[in-house]
Amino acid sequence: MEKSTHQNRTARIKGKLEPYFYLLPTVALMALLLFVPIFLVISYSFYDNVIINDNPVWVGFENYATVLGDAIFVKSMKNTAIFVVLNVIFHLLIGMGFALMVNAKSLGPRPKAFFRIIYMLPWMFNATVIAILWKLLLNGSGVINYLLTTFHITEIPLEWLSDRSAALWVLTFINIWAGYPFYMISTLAGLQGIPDSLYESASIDGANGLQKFWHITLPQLRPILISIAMLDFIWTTQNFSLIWLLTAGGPAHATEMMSTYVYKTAFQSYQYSLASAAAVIILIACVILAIFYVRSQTRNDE
Amino acid sequence: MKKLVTMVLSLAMVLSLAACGGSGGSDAAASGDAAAPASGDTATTGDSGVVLEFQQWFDNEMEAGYLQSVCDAFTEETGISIELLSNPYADTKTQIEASAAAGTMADVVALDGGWIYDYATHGHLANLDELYVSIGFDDGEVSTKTAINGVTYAQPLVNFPSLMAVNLDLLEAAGVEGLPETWTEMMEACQAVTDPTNNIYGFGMNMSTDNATCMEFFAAFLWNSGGSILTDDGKPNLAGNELLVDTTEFFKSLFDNNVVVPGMYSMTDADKVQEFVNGRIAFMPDSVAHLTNIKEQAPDMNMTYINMPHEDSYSGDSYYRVNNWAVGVSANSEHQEEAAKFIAYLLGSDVNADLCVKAGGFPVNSAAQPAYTDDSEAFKAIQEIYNGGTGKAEFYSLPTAEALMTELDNDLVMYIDGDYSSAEEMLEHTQSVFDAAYEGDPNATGGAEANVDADSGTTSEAA
Repeated sequence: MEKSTHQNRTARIKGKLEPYFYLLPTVALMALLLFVPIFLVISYSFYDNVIINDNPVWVGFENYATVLGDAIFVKSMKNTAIFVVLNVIFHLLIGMGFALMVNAKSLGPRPKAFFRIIYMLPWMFNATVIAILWKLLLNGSGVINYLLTTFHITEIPLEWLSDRSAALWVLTFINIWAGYPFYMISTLAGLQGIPDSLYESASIDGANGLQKFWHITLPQLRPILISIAMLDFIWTTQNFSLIWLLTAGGPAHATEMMSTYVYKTAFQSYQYSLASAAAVIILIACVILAIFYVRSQTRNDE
Repeated sequence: MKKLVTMVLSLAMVLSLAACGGSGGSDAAASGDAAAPASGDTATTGDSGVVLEFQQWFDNEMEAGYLQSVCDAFTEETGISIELLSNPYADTKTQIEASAAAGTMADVVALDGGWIYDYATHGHLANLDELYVSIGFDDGEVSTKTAINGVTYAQPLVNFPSLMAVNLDLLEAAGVEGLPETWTEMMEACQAVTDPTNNIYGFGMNMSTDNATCMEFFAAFLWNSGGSILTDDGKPNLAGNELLVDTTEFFKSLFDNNVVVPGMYSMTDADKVQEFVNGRIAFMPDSVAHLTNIKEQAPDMNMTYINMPHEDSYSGDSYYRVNNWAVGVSANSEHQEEAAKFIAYLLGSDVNADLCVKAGGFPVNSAAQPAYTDDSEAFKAIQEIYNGGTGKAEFYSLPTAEALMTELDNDLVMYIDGDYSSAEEMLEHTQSVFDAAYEGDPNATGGAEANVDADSGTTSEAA
């Protein structure tokens, strides 16, 4: 009898523990590949310098003070804010606009498929291809300058990426072009999930197209839009490849972003602790946004 | 509780996105995997059982399979196997940086001049002088070694002078006779050639900070005028350097006279070569390593090389920018002596000569007699300039050389755009940045990159 009770208890404990064993590989991987590196970077930021220094000295928040007191870092924060905010807004507007267009009932199945592929194209190119493509287009003797000078819109070729007053806006435009299809595809999926019955009921109630969009489409898409906006914020904040390939943060820091600042500080100046401090500041910005996102999602769940 | 778990899991998801999301640098480093050979790379295990990893970009810039054949010949001779880790230059740089930081550098690594000082002073490279002694290698025929504070940490294998490529077709079409030797002559030639309506410009140079070594092209105008960016004891000498002020003003005048190709501030090395082969630039400072590439892409172009034009009144010795393919031995390698033997093998007169022919460069072994097959006028011009002058690479003696060249690049752009009222003011600011790098580096005692004297075949250090 006692043996049977013991066996039952063991089986119950095993049953309770079993799910955690299934989770173990994921948890171990996350700990190894995610939490350990993040912890290391955070700890690095509190030393005078690491990796190249055999005996790092604890300096508290000194690196944060140095980074935040660096005019180039402040400029990179400002540039990143402009770059990210404009990207998120225009990705959303363009992506949703195109999604509504390719989802229109008036469009036949073949034109629909054709435009979906055409509008998705920028998403299929990697950063290198996008950089080469736009460099060729914006070259002094490229297509865009050719058209501008041929039609006498400008007399001399414009130096799009070499003009310090224009480079950030041009870079932002290129990244908007490269990123809107993600919004389009996500929004399109959301649009296809909205029941027709809602629109039919609204029509019976006499709602016009704008009212249907405002009172049905937008509220139905809201969770998707918030999710992809958050992802976009994080991705764009950390965008490095395209910026590096197009301007490398130049000319004269005109397009310096927090990501290029971190890279240069770590791999050109070998100031790994300062770079870690700057990286932690980026992480904090992303985490703050994540908290807002989580609160918004949990409110929806309730 | 449910709410808390949801929040924790969501935060974990966001952190994972932050860790994985679009950071090219870290992605490149991660994907680089220093320990993994590039596809197609092979290693034949030799008799000794020792396998050396050789991380480099040289393989990608020579005839396919050539470097592997050199390694196989070495294996046959010594029993030491070589595993080639071959990637393009930019990837190699990222991988070596990542592996140096992680303490997992390959046994033998290719080194660009701008990295050597920092890798050496950070303890990533082994002392080659000691290794040469321990393996009994007589380096008497080796014309160039890269020493930091008197210790050799990098061994150049092939030298590549950087000169001024000239599109002779454009000069002829503009009625320019003779090749410019002075700044004034160059300006006049540029003005004669420049024709914006046909997208033709006098001068084009990369200035993107993605590879700030472009500032060596700028400095080459100074070097070939007998100037230097260093004091006699190897410290930065920018502020108050009159010849550098003149050089800076001359460089700005190229922009003021509208003879530079549009988009130079963000132009990369590849962009610049592309503009040149498309016949849009008459004068282009460039590494001669691109000669083969230029001839392939523009086979009909009539082109040659000249040394960088000098200050009008200068009549002294000739100097040119020189870069090289250098290698070093990792300080954490368990087979340092075997690695040194491999370097010694690459320096052998026959091997070194053949390597230079395949790479299109010049030998480091003074006894090497490369049998160049290129008999073009352009290559003859390169040989003449190389043999008649001295190579300079002064930036390599600076701590965090790449970062400092980036700062010089930024300051130069700001000066050209009018942010600084004078070249003196700009150079004072640049000097302060250079000085700060010295203050932050306890190892900075005026170490030096060896200059290459092609005539004497001897090593001469700037400090």
